[in-house]
Amino acid sequence: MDFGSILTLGQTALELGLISSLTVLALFLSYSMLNVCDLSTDGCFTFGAAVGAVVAISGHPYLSIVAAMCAGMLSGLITAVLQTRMGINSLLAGIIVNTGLYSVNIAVMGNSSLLNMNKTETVFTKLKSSLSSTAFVSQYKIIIAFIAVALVILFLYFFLKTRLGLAIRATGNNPAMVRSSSINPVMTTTVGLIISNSFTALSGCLMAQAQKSVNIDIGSGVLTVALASLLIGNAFYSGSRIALRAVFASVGAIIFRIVYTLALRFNMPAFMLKLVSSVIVIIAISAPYIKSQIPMIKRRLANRKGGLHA
Amino acid sequence: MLEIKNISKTFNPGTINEKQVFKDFSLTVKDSEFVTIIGANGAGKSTLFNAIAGTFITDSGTIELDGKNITLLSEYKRARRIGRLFQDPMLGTAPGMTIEENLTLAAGRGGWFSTINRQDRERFRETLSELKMGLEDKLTKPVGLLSGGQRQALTLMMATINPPDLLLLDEHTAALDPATAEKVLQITERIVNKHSLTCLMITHNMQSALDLGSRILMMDEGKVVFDSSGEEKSKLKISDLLVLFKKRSGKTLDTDRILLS
Ligand SMILES: Nc1ncnc2c1ncn2[C@@H]1O[C@H](COP(=O)(O)OP(=O)(O)OP(=O)(O)O)[C@@H](O)[C@H]1O
Ligand SMILES: [Mg+2]
Repeated sequence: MDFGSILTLGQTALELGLISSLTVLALFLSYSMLNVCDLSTDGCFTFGAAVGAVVAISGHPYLSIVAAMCAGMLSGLITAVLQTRMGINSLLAGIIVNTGLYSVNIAVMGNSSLLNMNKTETVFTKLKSSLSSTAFVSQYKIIIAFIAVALVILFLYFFLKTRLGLAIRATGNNPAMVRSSSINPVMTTTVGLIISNSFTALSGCLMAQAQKSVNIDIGSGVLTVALASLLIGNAFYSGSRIALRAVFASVGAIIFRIVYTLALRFNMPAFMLKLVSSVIVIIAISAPYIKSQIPMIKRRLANRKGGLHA
Repeated sequence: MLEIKNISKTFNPGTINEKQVFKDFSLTVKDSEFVTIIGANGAGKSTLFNAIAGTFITDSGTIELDGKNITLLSEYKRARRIGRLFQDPMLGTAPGMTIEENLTLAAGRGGWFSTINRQDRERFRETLSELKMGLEDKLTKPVGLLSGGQRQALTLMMATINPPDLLLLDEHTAALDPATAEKVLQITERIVNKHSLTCLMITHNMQSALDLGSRILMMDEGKVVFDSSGEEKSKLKISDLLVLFKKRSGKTLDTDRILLS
């Protein structure tokens, strides 16, 4: 393999990593801060992709980004209302919205499960043409993805320091304390899910526009991949600096993509992506638990060796 | 002034676990009154606090605080005027967040998008220095690193940083070691006096029930079986309480958790 193709591979990994890290940042807010596992993520990702694509195809490249984020907000609002106002378990609320969104997404895409954006003007094509005579022309995807990620991290950095942001963090930490501070946890959960889903939808929108097509399956497995990335990032940094945690959440997404790209080079079939991400999530979540059980297991083993007199 | 009029509460009505805790229960607490509450396990003391704080809505009756009817108000809305501490020091604070972040939420000042500024920190430092626990130098440390006593003292500060119309203390020192418990009790007394708070305090420590406050209530099976204040209260001794309890309830006060000294 020559140097040129390694560079191309690295670049693709970075593009995909940055774009999917927007979903990781969404989970950083909902899963790490709010302590809600939002199972509507896959559907919301596709929703953002579909809405963004339809609006872009109709000739509004910039509006498509805004529209996709608004679609995500709406989806987040519905998930939140189901779990906070209608007594539906939070995991179930996510699954229900996810399932419902499948039909909605096909309807949005005009009763089709595939939309092509080969000739569509998007933020990517816009930047590409304005960079056409510079040395950065092949980096246009990375530039846009990087700007989006930087803006989202910057937003989280400031937002999580405000009183509303603190209240959202406290809701995931100790909802009783939020209530005794005279803040309604229903409100904080709702706001948190609205914001996080807007990031997920943005992620989907950019992913579709970068690859110039939307498939109804574009979002499938996104939650697990993002969770794996988040946990990889956590392994590097899980301290108290919120902004740094957010940065490492995105770094996790990039690392995940790079490792995955390498694995493909070593002839791992592409369909293994989801299994790999599942295994990473299993290991990352279960490791602390299993580690805590080791002393007990050791004692049991020692007991067995010592025979009946132990 | 707290005015509880004829409240009733039955848990799990219509099931085999049906349990009526209150039937037409009434209680009036005057402004700035510091009431200690004692009673056997299951007497309904915590349930009374839950009713006042809005953890559940009573089946009937009314609850008024300073003339405002709060009977149907949700818990988080009542919290603006009612401060509350539990036995478990973990319940009152968010462990993953710093001391100043916890205090900011409790203080509830400024708009939703305001952030902690120098003035806030100054105020927090001043407030915390009253505790004499060195917390004022740990504003940016996560609360999870504090000891139970420190957390309970911090929770007390959080509950009173905007002096509430009513402070409910539910055995808030019971999980602490005796020396720390004593210290937190002293802080409690100081804060209650400083703001002339109206305060209800449940305790299993007979001595603190007698030492603190201006009025004592003895509860049994959802009723107040003894209520004494002023001069009469200040003359009471632990032995009097035990005799009184036996006379009023027909039982001996169970002593598993009761601290006689
Ligand atoms: N949510 C609930 N559901 C069912 N029963 C309840 C509930 N809350 C309280 N009870 C019952 O009400 C009775 C009074 O309980 P409560 O906790 O108020 O007692 P207490 O006086 O605080 O006792 P302790 O000294 O042990 O704290 C108990 O019999 C209890 O089982
Ligand atoms: Mg109790």
